[in-house]
Amino acid sequence: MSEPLLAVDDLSLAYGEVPALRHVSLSVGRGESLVIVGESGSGKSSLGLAVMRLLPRTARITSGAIRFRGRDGAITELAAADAASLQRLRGREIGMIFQEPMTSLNPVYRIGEQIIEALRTHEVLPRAAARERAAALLAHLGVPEAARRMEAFPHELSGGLRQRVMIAIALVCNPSLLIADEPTTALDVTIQAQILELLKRLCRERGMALLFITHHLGVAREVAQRILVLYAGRVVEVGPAAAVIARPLHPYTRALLQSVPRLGANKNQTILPAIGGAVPDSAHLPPGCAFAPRCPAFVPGLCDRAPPPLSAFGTERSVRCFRAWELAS
Amino acid sequence: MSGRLLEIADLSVRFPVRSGLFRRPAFLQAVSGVSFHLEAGEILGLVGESGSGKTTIGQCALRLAEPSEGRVLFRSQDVFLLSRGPLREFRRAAQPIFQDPAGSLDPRMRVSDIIGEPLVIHRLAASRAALKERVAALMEEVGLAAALAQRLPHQLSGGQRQRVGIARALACDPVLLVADEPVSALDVSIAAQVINLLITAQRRRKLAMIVIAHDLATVGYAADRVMVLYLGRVMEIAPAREIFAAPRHPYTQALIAAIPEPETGLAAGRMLLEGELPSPLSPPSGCVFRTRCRYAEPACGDAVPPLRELTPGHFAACRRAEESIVRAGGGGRA
Repeated sequence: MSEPLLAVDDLSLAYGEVPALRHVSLSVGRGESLVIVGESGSGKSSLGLAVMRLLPRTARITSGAIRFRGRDGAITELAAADAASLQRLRGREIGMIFQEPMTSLNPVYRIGEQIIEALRTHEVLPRAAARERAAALLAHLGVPEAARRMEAFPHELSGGLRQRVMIAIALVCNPSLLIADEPTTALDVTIQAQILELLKRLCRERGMALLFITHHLGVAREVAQRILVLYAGRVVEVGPAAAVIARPLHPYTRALLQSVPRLGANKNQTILPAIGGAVPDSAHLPPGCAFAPRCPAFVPGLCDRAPPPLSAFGTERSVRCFRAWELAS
Repeated sequence: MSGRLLEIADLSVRFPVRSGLFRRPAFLQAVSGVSFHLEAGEILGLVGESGSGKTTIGQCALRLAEPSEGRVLFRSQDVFLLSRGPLREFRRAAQPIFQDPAGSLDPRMRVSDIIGEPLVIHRLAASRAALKERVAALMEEVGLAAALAQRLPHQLSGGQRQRVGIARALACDPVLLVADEPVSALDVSIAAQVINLLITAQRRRKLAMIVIAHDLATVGYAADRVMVLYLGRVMEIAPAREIFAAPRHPYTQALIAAIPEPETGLAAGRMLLEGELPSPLSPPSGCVFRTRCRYAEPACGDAVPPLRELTPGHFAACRRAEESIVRAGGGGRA
């Protein structure tokens, strides 16, 4: 296998004294899509922000490295990079989109201006040419009457169109990696389906890699080649998307899958299996496996002593559970 | 039918929208001619995307919003004509559950006071001791540890806050609950707990319930019947099982196809809806869905299609619902 585009190695991160990520490692290959799945407090958003180095001031990276391979082949260590090299990569080689486009767009600038600004920050080209490229990109992203919409302010657009504008800003410099943090969560389902289709098409067309963050396993399955499940700041399972969904190895992944009502399921025929309890407080994790207090497969004396290691399961999968082998057979 | 607890007849709601100084005042038609009923002990699910009018309908059912036209009958009485005493009784018997429990709980009140307040207002506790006992029983019913009684809302998790909201709604033994997006602010693993809690409470207390959500799978799971709304109009009403097995309205079919499921992803050969929701300030003539409908014909713009009963209990508002091409569009999911 060739060198990965993005390699996160043993990354730990804390807000003050409260850890948000604990020794997280992952890699994203060129053109590959990796989906980070987790609930609130799992650290999934912090991971995306850490790669972009957009973390709030209270956050500290306490261990590890984030290596990104640029277009010129040079590797930048993002966790330690200075402002100038970050500036060179952000927006140009790594793009990012967020959940609520309204809070990411500037309300007092026309959307065309905002796309052009992103482009001209990184590339030297005349205004008219930048304008043309921005309008062409908007049209390509399915914005009707793109040239006219360039003059619109963010509040004049629907949620779906605003998210397309965000995608345009992120993609206008042709980044090799797009980080998308819950980009469809604020959208209606029919619009969500459109945006997911669009992202998949763009990755195919441009050979762009995708680091997609979501709490929704259905959405994850739709865009992922590989899925990584986070729980309380730790990776609990990684593997090819189809395999993780069809045969989850970690009891948490399994429980998460079962607790989503399926279309057509009804209370009169099936009981919805819920996960009892709640996500533990990140400052006071249990001494053993963080999921142990909620786990149906919990074994006293085994699961509550020390955290299980993330171990390889076959060639493509990893799981952090003492009992994964026993439970899988 | 005598079992009808709530009857909504021809409900329309318009909101005035301020426009330019010299322009004609515009109206946003949030709900147009919606009729349905709710039997005692039944769960009706209301599904639709933003702008479908689902929240406004729920608010009218509780007399929290005023209709422009139409009536809301609770036990055969128009709730907007109730005098003081009967209105008070209605306020006791019909309770809301909100999406964002953080925003609907007073941040300075303790859990036990929040849950006990309806009992105090409706004078349902004879003494301080009786009040304390009722609150403790309610907390137990919704799965809140007794130790949480003196906590403030911000000291609780999202799931615990929603349980407080449910306990408060159940406090004075209502017969009707209107839950607007009760789990959409919660984590996946917590949402399932809260859905199960609502269903258990509804069964034990034989409550009638309206569950409003944008998530068809959740609504379909909890509901006995499902009503699908688009731009303020009813597109389809059917028993929950049928709406997935044989959706007859093209919009319902598109909505189902757009839901990504973990095992299958988006439905294969799906009907991806194109375009955006039309502006509710100037909805399309005739069928409001025709501008995004793959089966639309010129005649669909002529008149608003009435809601027709296709099979017993299954209604759809589509001129072409019987045609085989439209019926075939609903297969393959559920």
